[in-house]
Amino acid sequence: MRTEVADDKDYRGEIHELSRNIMTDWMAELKDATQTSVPSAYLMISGNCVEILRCFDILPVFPEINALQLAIRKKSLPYIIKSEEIGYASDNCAYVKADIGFTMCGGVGPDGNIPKPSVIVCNFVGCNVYIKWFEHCREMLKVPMIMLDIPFVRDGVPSQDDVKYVLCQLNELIKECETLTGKKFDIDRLREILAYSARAEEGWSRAKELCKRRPAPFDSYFDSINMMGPINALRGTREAADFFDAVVERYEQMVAKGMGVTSDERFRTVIEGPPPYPYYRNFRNLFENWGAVAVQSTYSTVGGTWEFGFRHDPKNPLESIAEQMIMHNLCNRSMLDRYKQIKTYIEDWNADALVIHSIKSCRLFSAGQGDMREYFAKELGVPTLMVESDLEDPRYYSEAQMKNRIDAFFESLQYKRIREGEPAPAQA
Amino acid sequence: MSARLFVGIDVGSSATKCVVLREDGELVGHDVVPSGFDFAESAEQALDQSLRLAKGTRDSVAACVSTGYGRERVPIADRHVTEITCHARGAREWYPKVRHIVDVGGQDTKVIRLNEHGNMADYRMNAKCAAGTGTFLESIALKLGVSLKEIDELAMRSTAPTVVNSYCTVFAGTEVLERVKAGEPREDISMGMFRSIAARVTEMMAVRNGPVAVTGGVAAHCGAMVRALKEALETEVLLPAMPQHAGAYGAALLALTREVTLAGESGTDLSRTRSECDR
Repeated sequence: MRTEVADDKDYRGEIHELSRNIMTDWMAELKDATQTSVPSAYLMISGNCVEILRCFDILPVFPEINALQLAIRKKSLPYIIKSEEIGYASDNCAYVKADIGFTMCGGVGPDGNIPKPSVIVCNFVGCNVYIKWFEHCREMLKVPMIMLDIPFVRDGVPSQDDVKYVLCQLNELIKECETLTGKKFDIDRLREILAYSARAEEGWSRAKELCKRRPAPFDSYFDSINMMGPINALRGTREAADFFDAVVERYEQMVAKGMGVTSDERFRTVIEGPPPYPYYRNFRNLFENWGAVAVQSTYSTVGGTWEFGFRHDPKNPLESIAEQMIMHNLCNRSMLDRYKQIKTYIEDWNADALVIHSIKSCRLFSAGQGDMREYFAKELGVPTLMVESDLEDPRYYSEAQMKNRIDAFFESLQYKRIREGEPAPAQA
Repeated sequence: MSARLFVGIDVGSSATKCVVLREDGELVGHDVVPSGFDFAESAEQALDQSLRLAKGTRDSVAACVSTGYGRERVPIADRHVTEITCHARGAREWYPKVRHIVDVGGQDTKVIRLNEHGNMADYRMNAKCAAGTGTFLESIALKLGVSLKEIDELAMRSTAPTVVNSYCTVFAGTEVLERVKAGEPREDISMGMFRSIAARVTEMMAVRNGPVAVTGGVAAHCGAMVRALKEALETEVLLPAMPQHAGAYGAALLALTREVTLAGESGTDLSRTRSECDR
């Protein structure tokens, strides 16, 4: 059945434009900071403690977002090659290589767009390559580095000792921030910031919940990118909280009118893994051609798994920050927890299939996806497609082969629809 | 008035194949031409020659499905379907009981598994690399200064095939030259290359339970490929009469089925749709 669709300009325009506007303002702030003495700090996306930095008016800078922006603007390859010239391996994380190459070329500092950080806060969660990335930044930029050691979640929930261990480190971080800025820690200010975080997290969660509806009002993989910028880069600000109020309002309107992201939602998918940013639009088209809409995605929860109910708590400020860093994000948990997350998405969001986009230069996050495919296809009978390219390096993307695999997968799903009751086709 | 004809055109990376069927499913025309630079032109050439054999005209073409790497460049096609679906459909028609199909093409090698109803259940393809494809053979034949036909003839005379260890086509080429320099027989080196492709196939998917149908241009032209696959898969390997045309044949069958499917979708004849799909 065909459903009413908001025209391209309308549905993509309003939320995308809002997102673009606040992200552009943030990037302008970064650019301005290259010429001033505003303190800034490098930070990682997954499970971070950005609220503490905001409490001291330290501008957060995310090298991952910098790398992503280079890729989506098709500017990443020269920087990747620059890094390879000095010895980074071809299969090293391409985010790292793009950012390091960019830094080598003067992108960070007074002549670039990104301020030289006053301090590097390495909130290591789940990815040990990232530790090396930030260590290399420290060496290149000659700035102090604070290393936070976040215990990996081993048994589903963190132990009390794990939480205490992180709390202790957060208190040390607060002292370092006091020294850096000369400001005294204000817990009430932190509570205020956390209230903004919680409001944004609630909005994110409500928006994602709306994708349980048929048709889904937005694509929870491709369109979530526009929500990831505000939730990840601007969490803890009024702008981000207001943005999510607007997101919910807009998507609720669409649901009320029965409007979908596409005029003909034929397949509902869950997507695992980051997108190939250098070919973002092409990749999206390969799914749109089949009327396939992602109703949930794991990548969008890298910063936080908000749709499972966690909110930063102004009443327990540091404890809730510690808890989020340890367990309410995608990367610091085991593969089996990721299985559970995907299974919930498939069941509760009524998905027809799972698509795994494996990242060539991220073995750490992609390792185990072959087993994941087997588990979902063979044990749960969920049609599963696995394709591979890269999130940053355009050399790993082959459009013809990608198209062949995706087309064949949806062809088989289409045939399955005709032959009701037949076992599901599996994978590519 | 001439009979209604159903056409499948498979525009592969190396060759363009065409098959023409009558309404009763009888194969009445076929052709193969190099794909060259202009896929649309190659498709037209293959179609014209096939229609001549079928004693038909463009006006008698009731439906056309295109497939293959260049499937979207075929002006006459009503529908594009991937070669994975088409090879499965073509091979199933020839061998209704076969559950695994190995297609060794110029650019891609695929292993397709069919379920108990004969429909596609699973498939694997080579990665973005020429290892295990026809291009691998062509590349090394070029290096050795011989034709593909000569490599096949040499390989069929091999008694102790060389083991080519390298996965990568480029490194395998270097390895082959090393073997030539070491004085190993050309026959054994040639068979070693076919075995290398067969090894890549076995790595893609565990092929169990019964015979395997082999399709694609490499199998059509190289007996050594079929022999290497028989040895590697340790099972019965079936080679159809027109292995290179399996994709085009499957596409033509889908063109023929399409009318039935459309009728089913409109709710008038769903039973026939299902029976066609489950055949």
